[in-house]
Amino acid sequence: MTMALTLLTWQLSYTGLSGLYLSMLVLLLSVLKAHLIGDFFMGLRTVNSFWRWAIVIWLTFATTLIATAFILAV
Amino acid sequence: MTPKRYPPGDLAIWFFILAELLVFAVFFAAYAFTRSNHIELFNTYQLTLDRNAAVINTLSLITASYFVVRAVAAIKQGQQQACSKWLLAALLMGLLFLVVKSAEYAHHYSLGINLRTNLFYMFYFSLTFFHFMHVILGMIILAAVALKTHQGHYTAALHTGVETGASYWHMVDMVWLILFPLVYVMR
Repeated sequence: MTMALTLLTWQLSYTGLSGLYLSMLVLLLSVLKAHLIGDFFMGLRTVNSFWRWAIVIWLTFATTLIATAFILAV
Repeated sequence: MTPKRYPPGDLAIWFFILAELLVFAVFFAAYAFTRSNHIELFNTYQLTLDRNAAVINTLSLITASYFVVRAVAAIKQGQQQACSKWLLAALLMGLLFLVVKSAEYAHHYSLGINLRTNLFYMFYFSLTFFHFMHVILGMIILAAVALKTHQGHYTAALHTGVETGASYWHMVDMVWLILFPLVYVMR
């Protein structure tokens, strides 16, 4: 799944499209991939505590900052 | 499956992982906010980056992470040799990442591009090299774990070290999954 999402991101970069909506789509795809890594590769899916949510909070925090910067730039 | 209270591996590595993730988050934000004041510059020079190399690097890190997952699964079943072989395979994927990234750097250098060229390249080199060093550290950790596994130090009953090394490696992969689209694609 993460491979497919990566290839999709790569192909999107060659469409020649740009702009806020495409950037947000690409960011969303990367959040999804990172979340899959956390849940399945890191094994956090079976962890019911602060540690699972710490990664989710980090992802939310980092990507919200990035998204805010891109929105402000428009 | 019964939910667990603690994540895999030594808890100390998770504090380290969170600290590293915070640093990268700040770095990503610095890039994004600086870009907002220099959009044309960032858009122009972003196109000079090799997206094919970056996607090869992304796939190599994801593949390495998958191999690490297989290694952890193997040691949980007491398969020490299989575990160390999976870790070796992961290391090869890590090496591929380093080679491709180094080739990118060499290409930029041959064109006279460096940290001082402009603001975009300053961020590009510092962000990706910071991550590059984390890949190296991750490989050193995996190599040490692979060696100890091969020597029989880890078993089905005692393999916290393997999970600890694996957790760090997955963090390195996770960071790249944000870095790649941010620096190479989003415009």
